[in-house]
Amino acid sequence: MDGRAGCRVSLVPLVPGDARGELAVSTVPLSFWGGFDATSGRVTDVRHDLCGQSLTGKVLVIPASRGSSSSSGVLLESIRLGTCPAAIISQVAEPILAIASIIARQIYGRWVPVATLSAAEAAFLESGQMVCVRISANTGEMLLDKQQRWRDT
Amino acid sequence: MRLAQEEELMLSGRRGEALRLAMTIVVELGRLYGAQRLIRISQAHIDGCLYSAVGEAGAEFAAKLAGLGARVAVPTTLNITARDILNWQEFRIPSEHAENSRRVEDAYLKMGCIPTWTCTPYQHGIVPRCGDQIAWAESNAICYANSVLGARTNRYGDLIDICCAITGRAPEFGLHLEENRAGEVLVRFDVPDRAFDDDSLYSAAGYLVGEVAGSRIPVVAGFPGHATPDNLKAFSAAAASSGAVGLFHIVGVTPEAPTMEAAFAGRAHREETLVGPQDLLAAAEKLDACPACGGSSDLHTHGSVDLVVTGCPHASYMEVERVAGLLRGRHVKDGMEFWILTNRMVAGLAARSGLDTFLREAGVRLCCDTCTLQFPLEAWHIGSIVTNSGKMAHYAPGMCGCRTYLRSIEACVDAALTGEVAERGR
Repeated sequence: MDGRAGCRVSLVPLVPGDARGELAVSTVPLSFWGGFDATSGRVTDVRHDLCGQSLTGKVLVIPASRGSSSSSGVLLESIRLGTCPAAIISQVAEPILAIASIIARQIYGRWVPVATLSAAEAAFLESGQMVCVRISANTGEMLLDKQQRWRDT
Repeated sequence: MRLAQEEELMLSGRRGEALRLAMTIVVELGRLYGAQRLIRISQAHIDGCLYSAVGEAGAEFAAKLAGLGARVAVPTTLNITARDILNWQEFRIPSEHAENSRRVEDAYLKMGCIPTWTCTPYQHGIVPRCGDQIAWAESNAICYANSVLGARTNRYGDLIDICCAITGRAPEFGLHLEENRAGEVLVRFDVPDRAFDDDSLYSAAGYLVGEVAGSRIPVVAGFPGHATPDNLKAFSAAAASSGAVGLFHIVGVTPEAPTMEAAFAGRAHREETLVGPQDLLAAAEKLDACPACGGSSDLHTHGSVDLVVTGCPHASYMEVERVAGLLRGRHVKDGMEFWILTNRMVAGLAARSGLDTFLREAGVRLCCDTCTLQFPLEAWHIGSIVTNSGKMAHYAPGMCGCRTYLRSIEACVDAALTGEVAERGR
């Protein structure tokens, strides 16, 4: 990833919004219901490679959601509690991921931006990198944070 | 998006604040997905009524809608809740948890929903016709309604479900549209029909198909033509656990797949997966899991168990009767628990036929309205579970912290009598 620090990844917008945070990248689909604890903000699915990790404030990159339709309820509760990811970037734009944000925006005035990216772009991303995500109605981008890289080196 | 006059009135607030809020959310979802218009739905099934999933956020949202005087505009069934409503104390559910559950239940009943409290509304609810436009939540029910019944719903999630029910509308996109219902990947089973005498292999088959398909629409060929609705229920639930499967086609079995060509709507498919007997067994073994070892383990093939649980999704009368038939009057071993998860419709039939008394005397509990995954199990000190459900086996290790075994219903009953789970196939 070194060669790409400071690079820009284009995103297809779903739910607009801006976010900044550390990447949590997985190649395994995630069901928020049954796989994520809204109280702690941690992944609890024993079959998931992020199991045990906190997603709070992170930019989550997953290939897709899977499993339960209760995932939108769990995500809404995590938005209420402030344990939610800073943004969710998936390769498939499942409604279940967008619904919590639509409702949270109506009732809490805050939400999780959601966008999609290609599998090819996702393959370049690694957990731990700091990124900025900007998603508008028509365009979206993820900027890998140069400053973070300078701090690391 | 073009809205009809009545829809504009709802959105503007002239039909009241509840309809404005619900319509705003339905329209916003449609806008994000590029829907051209809204469609009328004939019914809805609500998953957002489950306190243990939606938490206080979902409770607040339901209370807000109910408080604004919202009423459902179409027949609306309810998914499971977080307690056995009549017997929560028998299942050692903490009173605080039961009370939280009751608050959410009351809000949905106030809005005019039907208290079905089941995850199998397609067996014991208001069953849609082939081609009906509906708005359903609950992953297994969505998958079954689309695939086995041929009704049309997207994978709706908690809280949008009630918004669709209140407005009587859904945005026209995704699986509501004919052109998005064609198969995308082929999974060809080359497995003798008799392998499926072990009913848990329908779950394993679904789990495997869900993994292959991910978010795409799988077409399954070579599937046993004698599969019952209960077998297809297990298959649907497992496919919707390992993948985001909202629709599958089984050639010669499901209504939109009389032929392979019809299942793919005449289009070419680029990906084909062949499944042999060993692949099916490997999928089943993957569902034997323990929380500590991060999923499945070779060392984890047999052992002692504390709880036998069947009825995920909710057991039909036939499945309850099957357990009674296998027990043949023998009693569950002392210290073992055997729970059948089901709904009040099935429990009512079991009460009338005497099955419930027979089962209770054999040491089996019927747990209604809910699911083992939805209430605290701490008071039971359960370390390991055996089940014939792939969905239960997928979620229990993470949600209950229990070792889990997937076995046939016959092996589940044997485990209840002995307290031991044998290796698969012994």
